Amino acid sequence: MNRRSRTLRHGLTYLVLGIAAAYAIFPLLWVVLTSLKNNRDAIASADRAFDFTPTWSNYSGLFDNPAFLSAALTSFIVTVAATALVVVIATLGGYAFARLRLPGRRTLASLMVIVQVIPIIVLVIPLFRIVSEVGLYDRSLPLVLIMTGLNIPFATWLMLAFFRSSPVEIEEAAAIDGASRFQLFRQVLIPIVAPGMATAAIFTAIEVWNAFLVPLVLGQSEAQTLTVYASQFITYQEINWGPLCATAVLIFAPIVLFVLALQRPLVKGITTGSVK
Amino acid sequence: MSAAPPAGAVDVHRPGRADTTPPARRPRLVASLRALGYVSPIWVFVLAVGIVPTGYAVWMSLTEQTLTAPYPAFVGLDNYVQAVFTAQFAGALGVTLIFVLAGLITQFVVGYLLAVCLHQQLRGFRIARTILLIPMLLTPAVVGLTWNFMFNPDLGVVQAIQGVFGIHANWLADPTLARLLVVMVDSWMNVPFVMLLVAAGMTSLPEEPIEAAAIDGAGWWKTTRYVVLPMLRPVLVITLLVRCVDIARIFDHIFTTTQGGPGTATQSVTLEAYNSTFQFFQFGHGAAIALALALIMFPVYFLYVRLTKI
Amino acid sequence: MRVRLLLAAAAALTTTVLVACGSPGAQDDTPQDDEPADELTVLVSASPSATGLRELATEYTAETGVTIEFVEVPTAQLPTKIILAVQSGQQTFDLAQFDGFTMPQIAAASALLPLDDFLGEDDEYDYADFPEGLQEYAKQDGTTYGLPLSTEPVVQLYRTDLYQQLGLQPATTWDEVVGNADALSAAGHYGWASAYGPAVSAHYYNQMLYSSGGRLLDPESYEPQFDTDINRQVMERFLSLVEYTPESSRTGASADMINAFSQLQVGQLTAASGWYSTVADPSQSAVAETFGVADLPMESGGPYDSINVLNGWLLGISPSSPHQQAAWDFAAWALGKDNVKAFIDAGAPPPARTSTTTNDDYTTQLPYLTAVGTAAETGAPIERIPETAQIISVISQTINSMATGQLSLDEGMAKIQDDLTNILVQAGRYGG
Repeated sequence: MNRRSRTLRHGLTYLVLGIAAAYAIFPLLWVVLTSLKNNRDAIASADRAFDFTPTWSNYSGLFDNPAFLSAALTSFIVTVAATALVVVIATLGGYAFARLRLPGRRTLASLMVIVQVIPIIVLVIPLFRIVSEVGLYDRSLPLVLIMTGLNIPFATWLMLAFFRSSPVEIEEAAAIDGASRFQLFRQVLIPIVAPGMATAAIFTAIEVWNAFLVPLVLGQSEAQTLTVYASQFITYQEINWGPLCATAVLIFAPIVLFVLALQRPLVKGITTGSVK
Repeated sequence: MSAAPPAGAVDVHRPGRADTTPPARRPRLVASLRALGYVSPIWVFVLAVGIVPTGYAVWMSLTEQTLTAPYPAFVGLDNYVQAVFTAQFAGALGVTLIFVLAGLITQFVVGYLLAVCLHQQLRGFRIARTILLIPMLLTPAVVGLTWNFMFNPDLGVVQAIQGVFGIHANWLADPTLARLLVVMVDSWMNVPFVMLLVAAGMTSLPEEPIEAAAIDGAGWWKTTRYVVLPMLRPVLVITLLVRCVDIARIFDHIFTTTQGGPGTATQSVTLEAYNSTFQFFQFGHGAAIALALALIMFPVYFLYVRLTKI
Repeated sequence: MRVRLLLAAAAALTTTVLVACGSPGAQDDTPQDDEPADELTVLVSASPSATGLRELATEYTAETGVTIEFVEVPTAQLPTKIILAVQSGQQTFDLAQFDGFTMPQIAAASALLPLDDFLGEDDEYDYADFPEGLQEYAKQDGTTYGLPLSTEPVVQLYRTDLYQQLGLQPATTWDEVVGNADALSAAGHYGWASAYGPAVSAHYYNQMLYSSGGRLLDPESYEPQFDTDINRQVMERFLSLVEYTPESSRTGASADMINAFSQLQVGQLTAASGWYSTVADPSQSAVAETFGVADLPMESGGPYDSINVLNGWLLGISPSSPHQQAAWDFAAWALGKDNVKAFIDAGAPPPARTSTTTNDDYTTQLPYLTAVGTAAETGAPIERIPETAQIISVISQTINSMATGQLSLDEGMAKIQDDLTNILVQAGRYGG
């Protein structure tokens, strides 16, 4: 391949990536920009988009608002708790699927896929009725459990793939050395699949943090999450774009920072998990 | 990217080796019980969160419950007759189908193209990948709100940008453009997902066939068409299924971008089910509509179970 | 080693969190007797009226020691949340703000406490101060379920500067509205704005229909009226005005319409009077100093009386609240005569007590209040049946289809007539 065509190819690659990156990032920048405007500037015509005095008032307003803080806390608790549960359960389950003689594996696998493909809208009213029946409407606990249940299948398949792609020989060697099952898990398996657990944790955390329909139906005041909180800025009386965009930034920020910090396991996780 | 089927299970084969846990001479029954113990939490959650509610929904779809008469009465298939075998449902299904097809095409073409670009691993590709990844992580409901804001036909930034080129399209008022807008929002969020999976697939491809094709003088397109794509097939199929299921049940960002408009041009089946249930409180109709969608998606489910060979 | 620590930490955290989330569940089955309350929860939707309530709540807490917690819900979610909360059997709120036209649904779900007993016993609240039409507004099938939190008949907003420039007068009939729109449009302005979007356009069509002597349904037989001449004429006129509107009107909701009016050169529109304060607020509006308010245009000729459509928030009490008396005490105090000024100062449209709409101080501060007084006596709300939400939704979607050129006028009218007939027959309300 001669040099000119390579230069051309590189140029083209950079062009495509540049355009795509700009397209990917633009809406975000726009949201950040709007979050720094007062209400009048925020709804003003886009021709005057840069003609404004930046203000932190939207953010300070949020941090002064107990409802926002309580929604943020609820989102945080639900995300952490559901993620922890999912990772533990999926690691055990993935191990059993990958390594053990498991009666009913096909049945269980089929049921898990049903949970993955069924539209959430089918489940919400029944879940609402069940949760109400046990007296837990508008509590965080059912949100934790439901989000856990909805995310277990994906995480389990991920862990299954990680166990599959790790060599059996080490385990066999450990077994021959007389290691107990607990030691085997702790000292051999977990370190091997730790990147998988990180991946499962990231995916689950994103899903739970971003969930809308389930918390919309099952939460009201005490168990209001950030996503539901954000939707209240669209009201009959006005659309408060400034505070809405500030909330959006605060919803986006943790997950983006979290994932960028852990980008390696995420990308590696998808690679290992999907194509070995 | 929502609670999608596993990307992680692409080429899982039948159970690898037998039980490797020590010691080997333990009776089979005990080993089986132990394995069941490991998956027992999964059984509990899957039944409680997925299967029991689905059964409940089936029962709801066969009863009539209104606000004034909260005690359900069995009505057979009435709800299906009134809410599913209707022109309105057919229209909504058509909208869903358009979203699925257009979304899949856009996301695969663009995702593949970007994966090819990333795969060359030119200097700085990690930065590009990082930026491209971000939309995948964002909250769909909130993303929809912000796109609606950007596309406001009088005050939005898109109006200002296209105005520079002398275009004054109203994206929210034109049925075709409104559908395109929904596809764009969905693609904005999900192209990164396809891109990552395809790029990962490319990394793991063996070099030899591609080099051989190059030596034979095959161009980029021929190499792609006859060598790379066939080798990528497993990844592509699974990614396709994942996306297909996800688009068929999108709700959050249509709900917040177009509210189903103009008219009913972007009223998908999920939105229809939502309205019946939560705006009109016809729980039976809502359940029937949602279950009909689930049934229509059944072939995808079947394919999925087959392909993953769990 | 690190992994083990992490796992242990995760397990511990999970347990803690589960215990923490689980414990509040224990205190559920509280008896529904009246207990002295030290905290009340109010479900509101962000609006000037809610702002008014909030400000009064601070004062109430200082006086009585009862703290008032506000939970904000998107407007479209209010009936859903109220109904789900009551169906859940758990007490999640004591008071709730809701829109008059959603009351039939909420009342049908037994999600509101009848207030007639309270009203009978509370002289201080002085219910007789409200015109009969407003008392009717708060009733469903003869039972009162809410206290008026705001009264918002439809008024006309217009741009005083543009009207002066062009020598126009605010329209008094719908014919004049079209005439003014022509003149404004010829001068390069937007002649009209409204909300033709798929969620709300029925409300705006309705304003024009009621004030032209038409109705959505026959009030006696519930027969849909979309095959009548008057409904068709009004629809034709309503749609012919689309070409004078900013683009965001074509698919927008009420807030889009108000945003357009307060940011662009829009000559006139009609809207619930509560919007006045949004347009008059210089922190949100570029036309705060250059708009005026006039009566809703009226026309006779239809088979029914030409009247104004009454809108407005109500404040109701949850039947599962353990603090019903305390909830009433707060509501009656906040919405009583003495606190009208607090709402007006918060920019909220006050409930139209006769003593309010005839008070000179108030009418100077809110120039539309006199018109509200008139409308409160003669106006009427839209049909009060639980199917209204669905009817509004179907009409709005179809109007939006016509406004965006997907359906012709004939097709649209026929579709609405068919769909409404279907809904009402299925509900057993109309024989077909």
